[in-house]
Amino acid sequence: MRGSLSIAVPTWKDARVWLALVFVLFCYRALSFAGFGRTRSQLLVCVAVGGVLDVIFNRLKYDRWIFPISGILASIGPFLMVDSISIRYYALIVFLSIGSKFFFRWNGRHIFNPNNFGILVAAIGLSGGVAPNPSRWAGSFEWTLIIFVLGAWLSWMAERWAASIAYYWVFFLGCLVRSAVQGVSIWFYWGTMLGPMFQLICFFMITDPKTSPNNRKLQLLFGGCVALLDNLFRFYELRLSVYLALFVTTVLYAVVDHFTGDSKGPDPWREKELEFGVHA
Amino acid sequence: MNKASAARSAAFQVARICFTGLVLFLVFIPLFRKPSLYRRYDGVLDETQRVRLTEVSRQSGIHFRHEVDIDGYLKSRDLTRLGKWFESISASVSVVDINRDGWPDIFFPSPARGAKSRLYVNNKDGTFSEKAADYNIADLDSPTRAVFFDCDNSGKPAMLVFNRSSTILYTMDRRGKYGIHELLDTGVGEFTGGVNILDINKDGLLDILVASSGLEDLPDSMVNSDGGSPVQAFRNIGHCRFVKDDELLAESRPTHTHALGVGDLRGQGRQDLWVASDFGNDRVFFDEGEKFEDKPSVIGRTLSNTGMTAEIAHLDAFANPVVFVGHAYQPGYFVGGNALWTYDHGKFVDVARPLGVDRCGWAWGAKFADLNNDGLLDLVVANGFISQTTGTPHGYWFKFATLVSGPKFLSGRPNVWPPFLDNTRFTGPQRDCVFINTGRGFVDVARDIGFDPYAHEGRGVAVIDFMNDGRLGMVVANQNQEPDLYRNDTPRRGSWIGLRLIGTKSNRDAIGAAVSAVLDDGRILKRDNYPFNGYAAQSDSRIHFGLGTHRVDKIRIRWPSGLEETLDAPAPGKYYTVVEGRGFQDKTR
Repeated sequence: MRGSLSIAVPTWKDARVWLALVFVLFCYRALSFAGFGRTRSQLLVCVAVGGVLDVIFNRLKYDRWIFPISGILASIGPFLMVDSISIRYYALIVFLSIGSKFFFRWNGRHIFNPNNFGILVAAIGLSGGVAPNPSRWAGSFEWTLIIFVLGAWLSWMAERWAASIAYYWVFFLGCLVRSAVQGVSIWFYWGTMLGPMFQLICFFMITDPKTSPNNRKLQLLFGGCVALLDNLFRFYELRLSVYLALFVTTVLYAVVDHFTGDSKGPDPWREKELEFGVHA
Repeated sequence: MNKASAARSAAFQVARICFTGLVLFLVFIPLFRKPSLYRRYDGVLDETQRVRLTEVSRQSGIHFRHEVDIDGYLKSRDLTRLGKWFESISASVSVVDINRDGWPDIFFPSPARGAKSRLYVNNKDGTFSEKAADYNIADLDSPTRAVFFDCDNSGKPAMLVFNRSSTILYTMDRRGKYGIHELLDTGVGEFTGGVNILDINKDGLLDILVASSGLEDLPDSMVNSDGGSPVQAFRNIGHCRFVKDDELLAESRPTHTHALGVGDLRGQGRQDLWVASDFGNDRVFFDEGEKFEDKPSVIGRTLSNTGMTAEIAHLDAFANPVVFVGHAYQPGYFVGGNALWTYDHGKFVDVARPLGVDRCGWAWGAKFADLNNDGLLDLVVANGFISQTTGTPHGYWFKFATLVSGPKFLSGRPNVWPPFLDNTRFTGPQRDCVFINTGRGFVDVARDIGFDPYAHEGRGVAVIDFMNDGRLGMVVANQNQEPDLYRNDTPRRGSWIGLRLIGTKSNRDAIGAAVSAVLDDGRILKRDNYPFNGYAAQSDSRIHFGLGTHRVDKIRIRWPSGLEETLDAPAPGKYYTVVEGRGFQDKTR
């Protein structure tokens, strides 16, 4: 018997391809710097679990085969952002991330930023063994600049720069307020903004085209809302402030989207179908 | 809809339900089970494994309270806002047989200005008498740490004292009084020096290794801070005179070092060096004869970058000694926990989790000791960091985690750090840990046996058999608090044997000697004589073997000079003196 197999693969115009290349650089940093505490096996497990789950869930839900670039990208986030005492926890976070894409949907789109969802749920439930740890980047300002530049470029490519700018500025102003109220040096608060993790969240997390607004004004509101809530949660010293802030904001956006239909539009991903002849 | 797509759809729905259940389970876990600082043990220990440790400091006559007063010092360095942090790292203890009567005594340095250091001399009946003034060591200049060792093989222990601005060697005169002998050019102000004593070049004279946590260089990164000091070596050139040897550890770069552990880490008869580093990765230096070589690549990846202690011991399950490194463990922030490193196929691998010693709050000092004389080494770990509970305490974890997320050029500046106020606490009170070795791993029984009932802020932990009955006790130096002295009241079940080693060609204290006890079942127990390992504590330097129900056939000793002796073991249940080249002498007790 002879048939054909069609696989959806991203093209060079797809922002995810460039994002993947950038992530290769970040993973190199994580693996080459001992202070990061990451191993190759952790990366392999994250990528393997993310990729396989993305393929399986796409097959189950959409009856199609894909090259799992989204799943792989979603698996890198936990690897870079989260300390975990067990490789199984990494697999679990990736499972939560990918699963949230397929299982928690409304109006034909997933509600939560996959990475944010996976990290948040795991960090709440398994706080004894899972913790986001911004200090892994060792306070390297060089890496802040690298992530800033690459992130700004990708944010522009994904047409989400307005969300990033709003997040940056509202967070900046929130720091001023917190400093005035709490009586601590403003540089203590702004230090967060000058760290690599902040850039990752600002340019790589909140700018996810599938879970952030298309409309520019909504993007400004979206980024501003995340920063506002983040500042509020930080004021009360909530451990997972930015993850909670993004979680709440994506839910709010889902409601707004329900009434405005903002997310209806062309698919931000640029994919093509590759046909393979197969013998069965 | 065909059959295949119906099956796919059904599978997807089942997966969705399972996934939702999992998410709800994870989100609601904290409501039912608070993450613990400790690894819970709900089992029941075998009768032979149980221990009873009774806190007897007051009834033993120990009335000491650790106090710190460094306000002026901090003001001069623009660190006043963080004073509480710095005032929380200086409690230490030394166990030394100062009068060479075969009964261990205890010395507590007191860093507060005008406060007296205390020397508790063993009355041989479970009590102590304070005699620091008799030895002229009550009024030292704000000492934070003291180590006693025989630097000229005279039989009289010299005393190396660290304070915040200098490192001073005191020697004992004929009348038994200590006086300043030499000032060591360590170049570091220190709160508790990472220090170890060993005979580096095997010339029979004990040398000194020193490193500093250098906290007045504020750490500028959690995992790669630039502050601290390199490890420095001071060679003994005779008559207790020391010269700095910059070549020996030429590759040592600055780290915030709290502890230096020495041991034969590769099982090659060498004296390798483990450097427990805070705010960065630990370092290991291999003894290559002429110099110590830095080997960062042989340490496996770890999430723990807050090394406080370096305690080294032989465990049956491993060919080479293990290195226990205490770390800060705090759910939600720092989850790596303690490390237990062992050298295996050219790499140090961490086995703390599988063996169950990875969690003990913010861990500081640690000592391995066979508490129940069953032939298996147990582990005691002190913990806690700034346990302020009066007023309305404010936590510091969130602030600290925020600080270290920023760039180095900001987090290294004191005025950027959020202040440590009087009612600010870091960990809150934490109970120390007593990990009992079951042969398959360790279980923490501290809660069950009422260990550390007041959850003191433990720092240095030293082993001491102050009853000389073979049941090892512990002394824990607590920060800004009274120390804990634990008498081992475990019912006598297992047999034991103890050895006091005296070197002749080797250094007189026999520091670095490797001793093996060959049991009647062929099992070999190993102990190395490095009483300065651990953190901010010097332990009883006698070698102790718990034997369980076994008999010991042979004692093998590899002296620091290289001499190897195999001796027929005498009857157990006593301490014996062994002199290098001359075998067993009279019973010590």
